[in-house]
Amino acid sequence: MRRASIIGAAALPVGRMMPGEGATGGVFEAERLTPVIRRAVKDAGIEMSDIVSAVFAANPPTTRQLGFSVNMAARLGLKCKGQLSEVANLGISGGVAFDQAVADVELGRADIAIAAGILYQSAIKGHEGMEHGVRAVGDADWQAPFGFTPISWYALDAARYFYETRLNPDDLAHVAVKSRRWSANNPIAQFRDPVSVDEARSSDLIVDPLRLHDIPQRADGAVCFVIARDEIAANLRSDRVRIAARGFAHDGRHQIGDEPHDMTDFPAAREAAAAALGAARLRLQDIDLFELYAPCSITEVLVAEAIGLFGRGDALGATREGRTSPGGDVALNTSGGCLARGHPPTNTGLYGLYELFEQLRGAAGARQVKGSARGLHICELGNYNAALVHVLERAA
Amino acid sequence: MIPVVRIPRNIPVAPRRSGFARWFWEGLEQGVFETTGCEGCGKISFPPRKDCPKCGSQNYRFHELSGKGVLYSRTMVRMTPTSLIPLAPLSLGIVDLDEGVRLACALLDRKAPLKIGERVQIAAMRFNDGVLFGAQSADDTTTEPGK
Ligand SMILES: [Zn+2]
Repeated sequence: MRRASIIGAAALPVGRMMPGEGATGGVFEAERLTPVIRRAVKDAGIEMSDIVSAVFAANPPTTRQLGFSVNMAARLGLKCKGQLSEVANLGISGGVAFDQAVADVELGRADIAIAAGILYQSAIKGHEGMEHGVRAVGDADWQAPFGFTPISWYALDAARYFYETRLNPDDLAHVAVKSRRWSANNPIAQFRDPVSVDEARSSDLIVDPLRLHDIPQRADGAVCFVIARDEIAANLRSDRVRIAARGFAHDGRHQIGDEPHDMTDFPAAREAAAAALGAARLRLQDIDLFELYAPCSITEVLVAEAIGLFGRGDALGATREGRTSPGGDVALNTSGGCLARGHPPTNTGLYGLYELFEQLRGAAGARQVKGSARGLHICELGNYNAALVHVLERAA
Repeated sequence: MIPVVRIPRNIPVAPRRSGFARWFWEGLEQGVFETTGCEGCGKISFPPRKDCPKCGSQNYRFHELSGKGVLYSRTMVRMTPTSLIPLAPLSLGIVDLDEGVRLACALLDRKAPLKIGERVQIAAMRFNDGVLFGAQSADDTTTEPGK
């Protein structure tokens, strides 16, 4: 199999960009994404005409333009011979777009491919957005009518976790605090101001026991990667980042099944990470950086424990002790993660990979984790029912 | 039979009733909490379905559930979809029934919020124009039995 490397990327700051309904004078989705793709192509040192495959993270129903990938290709002047598509699977959509673009290169369908996405959702009111959300994260007839919102499932994880571990939910505040400590130095983060432990633990309850600072805020975003066959990449860039391995697992459930299981266990994350590490012949200790998709504070705790970064019940204490903060011994969500960098769900997978790319090519500025050679990214869907893992490594 | 609780308002979001599962909702209105079990391997499914997810058998039988179980987890959703704002905050939970079935449903907190690990009883929530199901404390005797 051929190897693939990232040779260029660009990302917009996460934030509110979507024009409201009926807006005039706004920047619409294709206009917003186009310059991001041009920047990534320039960063890679290639021409638009070099792109053979283009894979987009599919847009949610909040996006006006349908047939998005075709519309974009026409706008960019792409005439793809490998693939032109938009792919989706809830929260892993961005990761799947990246995975497909990489696969095209590895399979020899394309020497150069792009993976890109834009999410516009911020102009949709939170309550309205949840009308769609409840139908995505649960059965439309047997769960959605009760109002199980996307983050309510993580709240159910949290409630169970604190029941079993007898830890203090107030300590979740430390996740918010450390996320802002990282994002303070991330120019594309949605929130960069510091937040105090007291502020976080006294913020409004939104989905018990999760508070405002435990959950992501509505946000838009756009990202593009340029991926090339490794031999080509080596000629174009000295600081390319290679895709070392990937892994995927689904636990077979849509949030929950009809038989009891440990909701706080996240087996798909553990299995997908083990598969990727196994394929790369690496151990967890060989990884320098972890970008773990975690929409809520509790999710970061649970996934970190699931993949073995910390023992069961230990991640929260480690966070409180600063082990995952800048300067700590575990570089976990150095972007600031979903709570601070921001969470445009269908693009979050791309943003996580973007952070690893920045770090591994030494372009992360004041949040740079020095000497990093390898990073592990996970994105997930549902209640970590499915997990998609990529291991990236500095090639030079 | 399970208890029936009257909710004197219209149902905010009515589940669709498929041709197959209509009997579930019609039974629930009367306090019958019935799902399907597999004739081949015995697996009980929830929600009811024709085919067995375990062995693939197409032979099912009706299986009445006691509705008795334990609260596995719970939350209070304060930020809800538009259609559910009139019922906010929503007390929701996951219940493990004694028959080994897990389901997600509303929680009928009366005197105090139901606690994780507490014994609960599924009740039919009979709205003016529809029905859902929710868990109440197993000790709760304030509701009438189904009929
Ligand atoms: Zn069966």
